[in-house]
Amino acid sequence: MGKLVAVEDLRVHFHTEDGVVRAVDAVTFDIDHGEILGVVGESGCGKSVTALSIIRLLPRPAGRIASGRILFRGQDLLKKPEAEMRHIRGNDIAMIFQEPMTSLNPVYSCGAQVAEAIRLHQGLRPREAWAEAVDMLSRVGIAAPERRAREYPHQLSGGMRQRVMIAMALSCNPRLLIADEPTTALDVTVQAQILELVKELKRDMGMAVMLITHDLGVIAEMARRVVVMYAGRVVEEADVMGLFRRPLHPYTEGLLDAVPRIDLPRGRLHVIPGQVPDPGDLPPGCRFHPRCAHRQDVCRKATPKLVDLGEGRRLACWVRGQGREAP
Amino acid sequence: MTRYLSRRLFLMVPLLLGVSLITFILLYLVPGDPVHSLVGERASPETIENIRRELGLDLPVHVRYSRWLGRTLRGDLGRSWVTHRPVRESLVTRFPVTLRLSVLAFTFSSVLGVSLGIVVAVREDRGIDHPAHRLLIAGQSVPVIYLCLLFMYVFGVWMGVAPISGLGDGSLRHFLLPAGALGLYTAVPKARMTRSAMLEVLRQDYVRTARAKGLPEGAVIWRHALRNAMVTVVTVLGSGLSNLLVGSVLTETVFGLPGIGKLQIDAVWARDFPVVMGCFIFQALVLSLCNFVVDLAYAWVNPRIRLE
Amino acid sequence: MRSVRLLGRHRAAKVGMGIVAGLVAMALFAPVLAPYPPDHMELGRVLAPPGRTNLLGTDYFGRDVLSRIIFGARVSLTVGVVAQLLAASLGVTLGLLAGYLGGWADLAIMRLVELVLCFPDLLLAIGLSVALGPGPYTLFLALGLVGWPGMTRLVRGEVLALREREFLEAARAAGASTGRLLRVHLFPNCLPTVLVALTGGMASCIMAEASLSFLGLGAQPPTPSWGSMLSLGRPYLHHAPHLVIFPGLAIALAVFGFSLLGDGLRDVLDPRWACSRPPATSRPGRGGGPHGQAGRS
Repeated sequence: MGKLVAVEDLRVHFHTEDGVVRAVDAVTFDIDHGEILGVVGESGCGKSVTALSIIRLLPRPAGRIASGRILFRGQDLLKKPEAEMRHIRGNDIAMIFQEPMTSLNPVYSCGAQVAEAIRLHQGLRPREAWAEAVDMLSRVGIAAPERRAREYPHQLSGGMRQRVMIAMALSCNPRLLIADEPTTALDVTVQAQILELVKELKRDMGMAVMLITHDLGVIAEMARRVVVMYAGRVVEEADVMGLFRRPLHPYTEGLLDAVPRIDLPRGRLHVIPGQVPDPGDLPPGCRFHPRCAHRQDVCRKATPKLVDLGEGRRLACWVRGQGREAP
Repeated sequence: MTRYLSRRLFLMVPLLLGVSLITFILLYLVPGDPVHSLVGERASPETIENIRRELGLDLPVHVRYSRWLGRTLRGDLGRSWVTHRPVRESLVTRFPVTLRLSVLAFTFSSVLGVSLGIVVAVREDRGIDHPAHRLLIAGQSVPVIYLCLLFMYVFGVWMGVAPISGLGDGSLRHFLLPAGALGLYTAVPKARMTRSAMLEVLRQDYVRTARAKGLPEGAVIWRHALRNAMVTVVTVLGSGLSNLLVGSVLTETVFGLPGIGKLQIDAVWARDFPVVMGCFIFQALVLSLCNFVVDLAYAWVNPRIRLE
Repeated sequence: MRSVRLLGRHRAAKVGMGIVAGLVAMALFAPVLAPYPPDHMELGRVLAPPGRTNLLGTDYFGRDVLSRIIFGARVSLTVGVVAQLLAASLGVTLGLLAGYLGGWADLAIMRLVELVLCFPDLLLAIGLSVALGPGPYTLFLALGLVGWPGMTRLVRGEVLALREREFLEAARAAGASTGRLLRVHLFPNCLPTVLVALTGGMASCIMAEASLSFLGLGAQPPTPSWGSMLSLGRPYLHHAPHLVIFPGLAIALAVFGFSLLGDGLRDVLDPRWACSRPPATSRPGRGGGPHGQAGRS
């Protein structure tokens, strides 16, 4: 059986007043059935854009997929007509977002919003869909689900709303859940609960999860494999253990160093010098070179290609890998 | 919710008092003795003095105001200085005309404005630069009097489909042109505000959520976006009311419809103090009541207030 | 002068600027541009349709419509400018005071603002012009007194945002007096907002002037005002529609020009619009419109 999702050479361009912004450039990765894939990177590195490309919900009219393929169970999602894509959204691929505060519609009760997806994809009658929604709410750990179902989003806490979002996303038993920074806006204790819930539901339902985050701690906790993105490109891919033990790309190294650690003697917290480049004005060559401590001449001139190092490890770096120029 | 509404209702009191006070002060400032224009230049000083006393004009302004207020609270708006008819009676006979004109125009403009706003917003969100938006800005530059005259010319003179002016037998036909012009005039700001409300809502996260659920675009727009935009649209409809009032005064004047607005302008010309005052107060009262209804509607579409 | 360059790139603003410049030229050079004096009566050519001798026709007194429209620009612009300056000086002063002093002064001023704002603008202007009696200054005063509350609101908001900023603290610490703080430090910072509001206010003023003159409460008969031209033309709608069509077009065009210019200025000058613009939107001129601050009529 092939991979569940294979993103191949995806390029997404945003057309703005100041010209074309290449938000995602030649991104390639895949997601296996039932695995949790972590995607890390600073904000603006293109991870959310990649996710939105998969369910084809890029902000219109600015965002456009310039080239590439996104295979879902072997079929190219980018070639699907909108009607078919609608059937896939929410049914086969579901998504939850960073802001549980604003991602729920304020004028409908939580139960109605969950039931809407169920009615749509499973063709149930309103009453049955409502019962199903209440059931789903209790599965995501909401106490007194009948009462909560009738409440409106503003009456719930942030963690509670994210649970509702998860219930909505999982109500149709999707094969892939895309979680875009699902816990960033939540309190730390609530974060842990939500992550635990995602993990548990993933185990029960056997779906794959694409977990987008800037928090390496979350990745360590949840994922089996990680894709590291920087300025619209994948710079490194590895299994979690390998990445944490031996980061190869200088950017990954920097990210790991920037995580405060309790088990090591207290020292200065490392930060990566410089700033994330403006996506409208990217440096030539390796996009990380202005901030990289190991840069060489070649880094300034040519963009390194993502090279397979074996054992599921891929790297795009002139210095650390056997660099090859990207086409 | 009861608290919200009772507060709204309560706020009307100082507002109406303020309006009456300002109007009263304004009219007290009227230069030249109003009596002169009533009795003509050649009346003897004694006659003028008598009339002044009779009308209570010799009293200090605060006494006149408190008397006027006391009477008004009892529902007595005084008598016209010109026709000597009770002001309340004039208002009651004129109001149906204004009401009919306003209701027709309001319905027309709400339907037209809101749907136009939605269409333009949805098109624009899809990246199609809709010429209707430019047309809206241009449309907002047309004064209502001009629109009325154009309607008169095009539909009345040129095509001859409806009577040009006056009330005639009071049938609906005579309201077609004024209500059409006034409706079109008030539809433009509604369309613009609906458009920006809609564009704002379409950018919201929950619209993306609705799309991520796999809802068809129609359901996303009608069920999710519009229902939220309605919260703003209701306020838009409300804020259009004072526009409608001003518009109706001008429309009635252009079309010669005997409504409150016409009464008011005629009274202004004749310096008929009690009638002008009565019209202002009546308009303020109607406007406040309408705004209260808008608040009710607002509370109804917004669960945050409804459930309070 | 980044703003000027941006304004030059703003398409709607350029159109608006063109129209406004045309109007100003019309008003300034009216005697040169107009084919006839505005009061010149050609009694042999009464209610003539548009043609070679009178491009836009003549009115009931045989006066040339085009010439009267050109001279009418003077009335509209003068009334607009003077009324807006009046509204601005009153509004800015009260707004600065309300925002800076706070407390009961703020409360009193803002209550007054709310009270005036709940009057439909044109009705208030009608009331004022009756109270002031017919005269050359009535229009200025009536429209100026209607326009100030919106300005006060804007300026107060701006001051509230500025009040706690460091440069003010510094000036206060250096011992600047309240008057100096308001004049030198707060006022210049409010200027962009005021300028945007003024331009939009011109549009509403021109509109209101036309309506008042139409009702006979504005410019008095021999003065060639667009609004009174409409009211004079109304009885001849059957036979001489040009008496109504052209002056009306002039009003609409003038209002349109100032609206566009106001929109453009807001896009360029108002930092809230300039910075927060998301990359996805590529067109200027969204929402709101210039009619928010003063009246439409």
